[in-house]
Amino acid sequence: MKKILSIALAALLSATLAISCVGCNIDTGTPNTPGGNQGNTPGGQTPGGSTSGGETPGGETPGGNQEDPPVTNPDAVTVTVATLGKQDEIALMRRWTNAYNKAHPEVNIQIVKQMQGMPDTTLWMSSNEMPDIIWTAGDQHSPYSGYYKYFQDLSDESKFEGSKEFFADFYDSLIDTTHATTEDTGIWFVPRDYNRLVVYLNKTAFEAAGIPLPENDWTFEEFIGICNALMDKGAKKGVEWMVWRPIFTTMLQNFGGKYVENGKLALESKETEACVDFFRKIYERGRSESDPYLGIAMKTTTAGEFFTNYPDDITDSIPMTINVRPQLPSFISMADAGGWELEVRAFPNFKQADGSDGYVGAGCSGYGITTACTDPAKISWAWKFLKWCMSEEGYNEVADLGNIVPALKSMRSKGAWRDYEYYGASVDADAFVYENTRDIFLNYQNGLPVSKHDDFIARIDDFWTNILTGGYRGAIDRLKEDCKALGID
Amino acid sequence: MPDMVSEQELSKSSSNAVAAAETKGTSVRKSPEYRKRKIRENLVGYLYIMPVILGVLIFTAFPVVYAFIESFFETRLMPLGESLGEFVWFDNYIKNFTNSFYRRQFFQSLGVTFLYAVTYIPLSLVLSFLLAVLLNQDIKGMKFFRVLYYLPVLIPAVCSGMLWNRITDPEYGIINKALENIGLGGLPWFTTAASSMPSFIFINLFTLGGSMILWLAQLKNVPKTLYESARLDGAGKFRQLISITIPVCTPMILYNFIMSVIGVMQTYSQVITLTGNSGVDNSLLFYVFNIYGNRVSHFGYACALSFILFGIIGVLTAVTMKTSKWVYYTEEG
Amino acid sequence: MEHEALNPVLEPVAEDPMVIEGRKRRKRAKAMRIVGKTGSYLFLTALSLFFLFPFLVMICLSILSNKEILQQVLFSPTGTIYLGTYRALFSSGSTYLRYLLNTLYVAAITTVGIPLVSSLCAYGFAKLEFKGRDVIFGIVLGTMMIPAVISIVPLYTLYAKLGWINTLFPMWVPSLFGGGATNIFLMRQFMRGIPNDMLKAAKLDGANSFVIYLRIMIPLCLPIMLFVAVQSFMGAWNDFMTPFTYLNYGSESVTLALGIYWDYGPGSIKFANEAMAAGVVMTLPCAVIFFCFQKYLIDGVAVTGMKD
Repeated sequence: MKKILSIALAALLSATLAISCVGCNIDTGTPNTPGGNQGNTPGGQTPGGSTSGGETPGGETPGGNQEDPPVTNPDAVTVTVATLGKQDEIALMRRWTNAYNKAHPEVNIQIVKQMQGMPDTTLWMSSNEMPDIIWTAGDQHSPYSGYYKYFQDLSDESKFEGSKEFFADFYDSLIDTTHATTEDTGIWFVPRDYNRLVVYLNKTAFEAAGIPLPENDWTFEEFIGICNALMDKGAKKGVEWMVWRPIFTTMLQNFGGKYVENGKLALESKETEACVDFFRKIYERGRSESDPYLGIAMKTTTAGEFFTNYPDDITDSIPMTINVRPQLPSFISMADAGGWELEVRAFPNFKQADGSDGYVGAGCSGYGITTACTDPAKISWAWKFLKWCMSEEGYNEVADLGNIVPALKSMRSKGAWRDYEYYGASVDADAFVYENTRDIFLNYQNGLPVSKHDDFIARIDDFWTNILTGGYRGAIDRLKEDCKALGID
Repeated sequence: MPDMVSEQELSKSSSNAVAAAETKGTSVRKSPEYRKRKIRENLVGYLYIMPVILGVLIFTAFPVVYAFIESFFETRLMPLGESLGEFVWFDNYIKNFTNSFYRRQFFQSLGVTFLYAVTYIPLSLVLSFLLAVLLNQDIKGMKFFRVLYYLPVLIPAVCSGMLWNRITDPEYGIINKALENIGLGGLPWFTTAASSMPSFIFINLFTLGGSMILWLAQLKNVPKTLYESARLDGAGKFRQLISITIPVCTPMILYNFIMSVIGVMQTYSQVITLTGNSGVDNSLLFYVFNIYGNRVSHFGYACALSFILFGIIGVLTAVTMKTSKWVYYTEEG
Repeated sequence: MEHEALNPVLEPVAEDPMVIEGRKRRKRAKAMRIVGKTGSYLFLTALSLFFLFPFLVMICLSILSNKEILQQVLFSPTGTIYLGTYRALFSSGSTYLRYLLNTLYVAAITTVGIPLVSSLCAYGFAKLEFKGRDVIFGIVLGTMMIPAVISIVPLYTLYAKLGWINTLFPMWVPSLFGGGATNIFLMRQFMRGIPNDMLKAAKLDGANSFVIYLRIMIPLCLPIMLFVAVQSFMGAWNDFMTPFTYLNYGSESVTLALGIYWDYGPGSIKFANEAMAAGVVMTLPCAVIFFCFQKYLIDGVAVTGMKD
């Protein structure tokens, strides 16, 4: 036995020796700083992996900020918080709780949970571990607020004083997302950010191609034209177009289609067919002179990379991608590392047939106060805390993280969030709040029973992935069958 | 082995004694002393096995019964004793066949699981057998090689998942980089639906060492006399393998086969640590993914799914046992 | 022939053609054997490269620096060995240390507890006489056939009621209730091999069953208990599904298996070298224990392989 042991050890040793004999200096290195800038370099990163909810696509988190140690006030009222379990989300909440705990020694707001998605709340509820404040998203909360009743109604003035005045300053589309259904009037969470789809551009690529940057009030035709012009100049594709529900929904609305009307599935329509046609065309491989839509977009999955491989040669890059504000820090550091300049423009205006403005999806994350929070003192502190976070002071506290566009109308044109910089690089802040298009709030179920919200969304996602293989007919037939089985006609 | 016999004899003789006592009259049996001793004996016996009785009751029987009840209810995960949910009869079972959405998922997962089972189980049985035969030679250093081949089995599943996830990455993984460097071009690994399953099977081949050790142990148990008489009969090495080694090993094959079926049917952690999801286009949607995916929001359905799995495993085991005429039991077995 | 085989040296110049023929054949056979042997060795070495591959890659990647990882190499082009990854794992305040401690805690309890408990139960099943013994044993064995997933999911509710969610209890408490059917079975098989006469003699000396268990069974069962202990350690060390099911994301009680999955698994943005270092550290105890207890493990496997 000893022989084998020694042989094995010798083998291992010789393996190590073989490596070290190339050169002999052993580098003990400096300890890595966790959460430092290293996180953004694509080398250590693996695509794939499920993004569990959250309004930000992609598994990337912006670095730059070392995680702050939590500030705690012992012997104070403790209010517990759950955030989304992503580095940037935790960093954001930590910033708020630390600042608030410092300013208010009589309260101790603590992050105790990190969630991977809304289903976690059911786990907590069944094990009696529901925190007082939890993260949620505009397009995900409705079964939990409207059906399971995990959230408290924040529009209740008697419990949450000053709520009417407080919520009056939020963007209307965001307040819409806080209701569980279209009929519902309850406000179940405080919207945190105003995430409209925007177009991120590689400014350097545009300059190399000799194409002027578009303005924020560009139209969809101009956008398609730019895609084609870029490809004429050698870009592989004009835009990276994610397989992502908010983008599909935006285009569906722009084409005049609807998911649901009066509680019934309304997706089977000429408008949807046109929209599906549009998507099939842009993902095509080839190109055609006569059809400007054909083959302009590179299909990327939710967890894919963006602005992939930007070497010196423009032909290998894809100069535009569609995304939301929370991705800005990671994009801008990516640009910095790649030696190019990033710019942002508002989503192009898809002019409607009657000449009115097009639509763009606007979503948000936010924080709700749960029904597990019953102690009046805790409720009062939780409410005060959330009110402070979503105030100009609170937003300015986290502005340097760069991933938040305040949900307040009064901060559209002011506040520290507009001055976000990454080593001197900055982008046009107006693009995130530019009023060239109308907001649609991404609450899809319009009149469906809330209990079926999640199931319905799963089918809708299925539909959008099916359009490429099954075409409009195949996908819609499958969706109809699935929805019928779900009890939706 | 002889002790077993002696014990059997012992119990036989003791029961004989009881029978004798009975025929003699009921005096011994009825005597309070005897009864007292018997009760005491029973109590002491139960005391020893109390942990396992409690364990089976609390951690197996309770959840199984609870899951069986819940499988007839439509519910999300609820605190124990709060609400069972809405009673839906057999809907959770039936909807796998009638509801198009569930049907698709259910059969996709069944297909993936069975595809893996019918390819991986025979493949690993045969390959690990070949490995064992190879390592059963009487050459110096064999033990060393055995240890080497067993090494990958020692890597915890989560580490090997993480490792393969990193090195098979088409963009950043070193395997594709190496293949490209020698001019073979990269492989798609887990990025396309068609290549996911073969890749998954391939990386599982690294754990062949586990079943190889089982085979080796079994090969050692083959009586040497059998080989000698075969040699005298003029049988070649290959012939010996076919007509002696394999038949003697059949009980192990059977046992291994059943255990592999039970294991493979429950594949989950290997995939989740490797890809984090059910693969591209659900190409690695193993059966347990559906159970885990539904356990929070559709708890009742998840319970129904696990009972269907139970049924499938039961049927497979029963069929294997029923058709196990090919298993050759030696006198000792 | 026999004679020739015995005295080949004494008669070096044998004229007999038969002898020459025989010598030639022997030479050929020897040559064949050598060729076969080298062939075997070559093949075995090639195969061992295959099986060593995951191990080597893990170790090699773990000692590269961040910069080298980006160059997608296996060996450092400058020949440096970078140990910063390991330092980062064990720097104060690293979550990895907490994972390690949690895992060690669970592994220690189960490694000691399972052999004791399962030997106790096995003793009951093997050497004591009581009503319904074999039926109960049959039921216990039958639980082996029940897929784990069928109980692991509904047990959440029970653990929630007990307040065990996000604690280490689900990882070790259930295993102390009997130690698992497989272990009881193995122990019982082993104990049945111990002659009853010995126990009887002890009984006549006035020892009760527990003394017999303590004084006779445990010392005799040490090999199998060691085997079970090692298996329990490996089981606790590698267990992924239990923490995955009963610990919420970001819980304090995360064990290594789950912590590595969350921190370095799919979707992680951490560098590969740090991930591999975490993997190497987690694999190391398993490898060391395997090398130390190799004999018991292989023997134990022989026992496992025999049950039919």
